[in-house]
Amino acid sequence: MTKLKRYMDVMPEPLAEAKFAVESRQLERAAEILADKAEKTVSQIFEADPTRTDLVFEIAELLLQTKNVEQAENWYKKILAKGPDAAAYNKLGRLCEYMGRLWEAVTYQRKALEVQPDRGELFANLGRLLICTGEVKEGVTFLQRAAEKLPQNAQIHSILLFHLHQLSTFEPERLFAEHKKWGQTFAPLKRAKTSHSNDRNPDRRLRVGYISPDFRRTSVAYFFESLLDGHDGQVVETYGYGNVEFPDSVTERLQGKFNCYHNIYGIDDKQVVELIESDEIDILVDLAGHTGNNRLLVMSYKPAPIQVTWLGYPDTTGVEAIDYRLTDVLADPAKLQKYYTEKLVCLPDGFLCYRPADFASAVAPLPAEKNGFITFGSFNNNCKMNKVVIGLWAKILKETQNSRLLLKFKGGNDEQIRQRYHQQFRELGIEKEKVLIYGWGRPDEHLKLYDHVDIALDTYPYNGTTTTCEALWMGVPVVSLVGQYHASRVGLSILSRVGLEFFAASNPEEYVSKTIALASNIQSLAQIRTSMRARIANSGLCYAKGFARNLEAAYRKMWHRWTETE
Amino acid sequence: MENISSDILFVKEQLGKAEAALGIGRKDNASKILNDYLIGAIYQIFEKDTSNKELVYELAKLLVKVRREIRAVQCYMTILEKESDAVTLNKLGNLYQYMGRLTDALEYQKKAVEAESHRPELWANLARVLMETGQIQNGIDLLRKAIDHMPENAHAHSNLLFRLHQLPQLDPKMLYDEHKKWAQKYAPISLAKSSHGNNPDPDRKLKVGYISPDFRMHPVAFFFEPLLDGHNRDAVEVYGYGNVAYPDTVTERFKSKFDNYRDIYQIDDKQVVNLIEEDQIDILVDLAGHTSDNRLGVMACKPAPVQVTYLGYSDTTGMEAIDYRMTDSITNPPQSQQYYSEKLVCLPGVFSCYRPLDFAPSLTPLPASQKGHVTFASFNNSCKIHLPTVELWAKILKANDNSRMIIRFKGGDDEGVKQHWANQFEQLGILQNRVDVGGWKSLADHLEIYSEVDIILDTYPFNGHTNTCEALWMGVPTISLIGQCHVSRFGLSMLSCVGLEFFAASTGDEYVKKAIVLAQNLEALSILRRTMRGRISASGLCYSKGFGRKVEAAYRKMWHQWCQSKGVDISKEHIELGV
Repeated sequence: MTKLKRYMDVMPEPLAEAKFAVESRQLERAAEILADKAEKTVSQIFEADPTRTDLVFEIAELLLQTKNVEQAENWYKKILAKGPDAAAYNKLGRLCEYMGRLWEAVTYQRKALEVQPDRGELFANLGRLLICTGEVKEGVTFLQRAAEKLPQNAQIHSILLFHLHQLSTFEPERLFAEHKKWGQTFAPLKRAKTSHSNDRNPDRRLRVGYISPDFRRTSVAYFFESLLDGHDGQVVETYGYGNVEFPDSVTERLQGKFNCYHNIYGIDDKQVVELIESDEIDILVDLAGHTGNNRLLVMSYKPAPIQVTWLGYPDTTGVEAIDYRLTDVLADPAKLQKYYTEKLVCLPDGFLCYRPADFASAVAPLPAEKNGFITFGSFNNNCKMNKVVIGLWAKILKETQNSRLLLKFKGGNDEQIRQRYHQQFRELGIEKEKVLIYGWGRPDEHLKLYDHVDIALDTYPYNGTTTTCEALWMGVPVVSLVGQYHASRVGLSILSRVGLEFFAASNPEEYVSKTIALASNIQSLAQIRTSMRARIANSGLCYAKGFARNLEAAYRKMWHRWTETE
Repeated sequence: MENISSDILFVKEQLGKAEAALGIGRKDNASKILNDYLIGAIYQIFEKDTSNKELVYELAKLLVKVRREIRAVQCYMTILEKESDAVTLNKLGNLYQYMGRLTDALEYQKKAVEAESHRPELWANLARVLMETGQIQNGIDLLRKAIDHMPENAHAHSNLLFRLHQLPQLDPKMLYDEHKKWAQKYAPISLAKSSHGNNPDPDRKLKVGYISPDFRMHPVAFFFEPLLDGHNRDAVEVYGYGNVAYPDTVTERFKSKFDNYRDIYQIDDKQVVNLIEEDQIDILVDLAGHTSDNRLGVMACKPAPVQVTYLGYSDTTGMEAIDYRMTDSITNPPQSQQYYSEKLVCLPGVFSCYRPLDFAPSLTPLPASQKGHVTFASFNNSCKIHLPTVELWAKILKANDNSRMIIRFKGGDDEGVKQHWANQFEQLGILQNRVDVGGWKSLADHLEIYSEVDIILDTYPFNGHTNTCEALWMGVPTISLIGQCHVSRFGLSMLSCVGLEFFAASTGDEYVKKAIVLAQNLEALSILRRTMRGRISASGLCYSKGFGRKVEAAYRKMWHQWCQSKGVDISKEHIELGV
């Protein structure tokens, strides 16, 4: 009741009631109040006093929570009818983004920036958005400006580092320098604890903590859950530290699989550090690197004597307090060690263990047999699709009769974004009928779409990871262009695990010619498809227990090394 | 007279051509040669002089190879019209058995025995058919009688040992004694070489030889091939000694996968022993035990310093010349060691690695969801099905009037056999239309049937092995009854490997209850089906490289033991390496 009272002190009664109703999850009641009295009241006040945009933002937010998106949009537009307003543009942009109208969102965010050209967060919003629409270079430029404007903001700098990998050219020295700079700026080694009192018995059960924003329905979880399933409870005790902003059913499922789980979202770094220390964690494993909502700052304090980074990030963290990075010899050949601040530890059977989705349907027959033409596909995030890759795909389409290309990415439903991609293909001589673009739908539909794909084409320089595994599981072989650095070698690593390394190409010409060769042999394509799941079963790609064994052996080695120091 | 001999020459030439065509895999050409004209000519020759029976036999044999079995039956009938001799009756009986016409097979084998009552080989053949038609005890008694009269015939005696596992009740001690008896008679330790010149360097690359009749389209191959694929050729050099009577495309594939392959079919034991010694094999692995076409005679001479039996036979060989038996701790818990002449070596996890068939169709939705009733099934060999098991199945069917059962085994199309089954189920209160008994098709056709099956019911005491794996790969769980002997624990081992040990039961009541409970939960069954292949991939059941490493680690340990026996000092690091 006191909450309601507090609200009523700062806003008109019906609005306060509506807000209280939303917060107590009485969404239907809230919607009623909004429609009935609240909107009228706010309308009156705003007409009389156009500076009361705070009320408009409040009501728009509540409308969004009660799923009345259209009305919320109207309210923002009401503000803008009176004149440009950065916050209104920004919110409108976020709304459009949420609705999948990405190109519109970009326009609004640009406008917001025009109004307030020195708000770093606005640069960041626009930058991220541009990248989602495929304008990676421009997006990265905006992220760089954001980072300049907000030199204290570690998260924005992390996001910039991540997106640098999506540029079409790689400069490893430069990337390494940037990551090191981040480490020195935000995670200086002097902050790290240097002496730990963990019990030095070399053979005891180890307490391993996994810290991640991704204990939820997302790619990382597909690979992490296998490990959690395979871990031997007598060798390791598992702790989960979840920085999960929006928990879901996967969060719940994973929670139950840890020996002990803590939700650390919204809890500040120092408190999390204390928590990890009181849990007496021996090995703390970061699963996010510089991806969104990471807790690298927690790692910088080094609450555990041994710290590892694995799985979520295709590069070094630059954080000297992190000792090791788990990888494999294919993804990171030895000569790449100089581009990592962590010591590379190569797992013998690959650094990934894939857990196919429960809702994956059976492998369907080869679509080309019925269609009479080949359908290529790439379901990778469009920020990984750059001019180079599109150029290669256009070449492939040109040199295979009647073929099609199926693309699927978030934002693929946005008509303007589709047009921009069709335009790019048209400039390369490919009519839009040959390129079909889908957006995101339900997860099971996503996998079922592979029923219509004969051959999957990987992206470069940032290979697919989950996408490659999903394509393979659905029977579709993946042709991958291999480069020199980790992000360009994940495809090779996965394909080699299942004995399909032949489909990894070492240069662009080979990528094109191998794809065309594959496309010309329907019979062998069909055979590959039907035998794919048996092939994967034969390999170690999904063998959770074996993978966990390898990981536990690596942990044990790290542990022994530590117990022998000092 | 002239006419006949030139006719005979012509006929022999044609038969020779047909044989040659078959030799290079041209069944179609061979069949063309065996036309009506030739067949007529052969019959005429036989009519004129019945001593030319051999030509008719040859013709019949070739007709079977080109899949024209009915014509082959006619050949034998043609002979029998003139004379009712035991050999022909026996051959016809064998042919009927091969065709799955068990009732006819039984009739003719009986006639063969009556025609010549003191030929023990004929008793053995009759015994086999008796066992296939459900008369296990009679069959075994007759087989024992036959063996007593064929004291030199090690293979016939091996066959008895194999068949003993098809009795409805198994006594591990009795089985152990029988196997030891065999070994004392046919493979006494005195035959074994006791000193070997192999270089006892504990860390060097090892030469491993696999000796088997089953490098062909055969269940053993489904489980052996992944091991061959998974072997690390830096750690072992792999030799294959194939005693394959009828090589096929699978044989060709195996030949290319071994580092060295030797065809030892119809090469006598002494020569094979020399071959293995020349190859300087360090570890010789038998993959057949007492199954047919085994070469235990070669193992008896111990041409390699370390000998192992693995995979093909579900019991001890009884032989002291074989040092180890590779298995796992579920199928062979520690207390079973007392029933094995070999030392049990338990591989971590499950003792075999499965290679799903390339042509296995994709999974279909749960049939019960669409049909509205649950369908149980059993695809195990009929020799594994005994009355107590059928009683359990009847109990399960009784729990829900709508449920059905599909039973398939070789010989299931035979009318007499079908009637026998219908009667059995009727006596147990289950109407005929609820149980569908049929014969065995080609493997590719057979796998399609899983689109109609919801749950497999395992046999006892001889569990299914290949069938259980295949069923799992096709998304179908198996309810299995566990016993003491190895053969009664396959089900538990397979199911445990993929995390489905819940479906193994330790008593008949539990077996029935679990089947009923599972059948009532269609949603769980459906999810299980859909996710089965992911589950199998995650389990490592099919992970050949990992399995190869496990086996190599076991070999390394065995090798170290031998090196130690030669006085070589194995340091602690060495022992750990082998672990």
